[in-house]
Amino acid sequence: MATGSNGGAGGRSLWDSVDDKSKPSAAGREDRGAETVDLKQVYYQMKNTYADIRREVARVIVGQDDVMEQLLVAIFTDNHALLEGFPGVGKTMIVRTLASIMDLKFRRIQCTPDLMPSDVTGTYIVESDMDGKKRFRFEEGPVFTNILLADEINRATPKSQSALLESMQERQVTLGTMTHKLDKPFFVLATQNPIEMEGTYPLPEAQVDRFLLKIIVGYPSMAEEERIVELYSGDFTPTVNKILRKEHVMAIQDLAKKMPISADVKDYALRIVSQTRPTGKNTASHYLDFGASPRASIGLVLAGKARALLNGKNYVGRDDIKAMAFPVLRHRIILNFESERKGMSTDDVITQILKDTG
Amino acid sequence: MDNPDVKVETLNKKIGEVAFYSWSFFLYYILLDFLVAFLLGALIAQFIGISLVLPVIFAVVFAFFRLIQKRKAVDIISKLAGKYENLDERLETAIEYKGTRNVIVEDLLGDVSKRMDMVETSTFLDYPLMRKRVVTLVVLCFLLLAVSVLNLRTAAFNALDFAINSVNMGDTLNKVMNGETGTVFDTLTGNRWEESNWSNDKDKNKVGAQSGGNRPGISEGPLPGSGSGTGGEGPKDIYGTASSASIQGKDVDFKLHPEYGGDIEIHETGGTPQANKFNLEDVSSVEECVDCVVGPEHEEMVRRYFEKILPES
Repeated sequence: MATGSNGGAGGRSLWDSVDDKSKPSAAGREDRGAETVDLKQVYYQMKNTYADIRREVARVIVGQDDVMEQLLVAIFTDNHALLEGFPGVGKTMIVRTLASIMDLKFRRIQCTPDLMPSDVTGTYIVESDMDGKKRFRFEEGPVFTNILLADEINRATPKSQSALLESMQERQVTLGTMTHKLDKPFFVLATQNPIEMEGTYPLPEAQVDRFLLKIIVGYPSMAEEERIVELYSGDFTPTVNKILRKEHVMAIQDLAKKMPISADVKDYALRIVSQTRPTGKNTASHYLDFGASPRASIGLVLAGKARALLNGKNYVGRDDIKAMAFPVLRHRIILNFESERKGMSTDDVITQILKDTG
Repeated sequence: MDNPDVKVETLNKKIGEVAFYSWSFFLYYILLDFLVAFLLGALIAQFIGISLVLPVIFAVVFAFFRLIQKRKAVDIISKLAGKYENLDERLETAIEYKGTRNVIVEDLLGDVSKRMDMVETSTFLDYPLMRKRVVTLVVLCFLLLAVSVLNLRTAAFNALDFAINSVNMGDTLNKVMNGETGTVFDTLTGNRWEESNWSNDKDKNKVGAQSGGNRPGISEGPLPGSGSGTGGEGPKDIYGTASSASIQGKDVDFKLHPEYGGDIEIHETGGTPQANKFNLEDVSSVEECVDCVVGPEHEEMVRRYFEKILPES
């Protein structure tokens, strides 16, 4: 494998490699485990798969490679991501494209202040059966899917946010005495924009902590924007080919957990997280009120593993940890007055912390 | 090579090889350190005249401490990582996970085993360090030989003694010339003493050739204490305050100024100086001195004076 990577086996894509009998049914609700696909094959084709995904995404999305990588990291670690960016930079389109490439069920909730919890989770409705008897039937909400896009999540009321966040954590919905399991895999990719804060309900820190990554979707470069205008000012209708099946996604999740990481690199990740906690005279004590929780340490190591796998490596390096430190930590640290007075962002503080950690 | 156990075995073998050579090189450096320490110790021992057992003990202790101090330098993983950057985290991870079996770890083990093939043990030889040690050894050997064969010890001590006395003498004379009698002087050994006058015990320590002191010195004549110059062990205060002597019924005062290069001042007690200065500069012998410098009117008087005082000494 080149550079110890898992991209040596060319030929058929993962999509072609699965027999018809194992392809997902129309219902798509069965829990197909990773055991239905050959882990070895998935691993050895990982680098090619990632290249295929990028190629397909590039047909619809121009640039935003980092955003795409971070979204895939969130998905392959079986976690959720929060996308933040100004309106019109393509947050929703990126998520939608990704869902299409992965052949996963995709649903979207447009969060508004009048969104009710039942609009998220679903509710019982009364209906008559063939005999005319009345009975309750559970009508699934949009949360019963594989990829859920919660658009402008900070516009929903705390009650609705809680309903969503509970399903994110527990991966199940309980209504009355009945508990309904969610599909596997299940990801919430929520978006929010940093402006127009009137009439919004910013997510509490404890809830933000449940998102593995906070991904910043920035403006494209001039050249990228030129290409975007060229693509979308004509009669172009973006279409993408499917690259991964549900079982492949789950196999990749399994592989990401198996990715070996040396004690030294793990220690590096822990030191970064520990440096975010204000103690003594460290950077955090100057610029932060609160540091990251142990959940951040777990998240950083997991994210590093997934990034290494995506890039076709067979070990986790410091570069993987360093790259993932920004999306993992930026929503878990609270700036203090001093850093706000100096106009510093969370990324500036993380940069400084990474320098301090060495 | 598909069998993960074979991969682990290959990896272990490669690391073992590197470890063996690394330790060998390390022990070689320690041996060089030992030799340098021994030669240095032997050189000092030879110089100050002590037994050679002490340098051996010193070298053994030194080598032992170097072994303790530098043993971490033999950390194979760090060494490999330092020399081969592409093996750094990969190798560490492979070693930590060699007991784990999954598709990624097996791939990693195979990958690291292949990369270990490219490792050349000679890259662990620290050429600059070795070069320094060898050059030091050669220099020390040469010095040791020089000290042993050429008896440099005696020569060095004489030079040192001369230097110390020159410093003392020059310093003292300068102060006296400037009329600083009664000044407090610092000696080279850190003692302080007060110069009461020009004739004192310090003179006793001067080398014979310089002031007629009682200590054998450089350029001393055949008799201890009598130098080839104007020195002698006559009246100890002949160079100090004016001394009187009776020559042919006449009392005369003598005053010798060695600090001025051997000028002698002679005049009658209580009288005014008569011819006075005998410039002995550029004079290689007494005869020459008498011929060319001392006036004929004083020649007889000086000759008699010395004839009178010589038998006493």
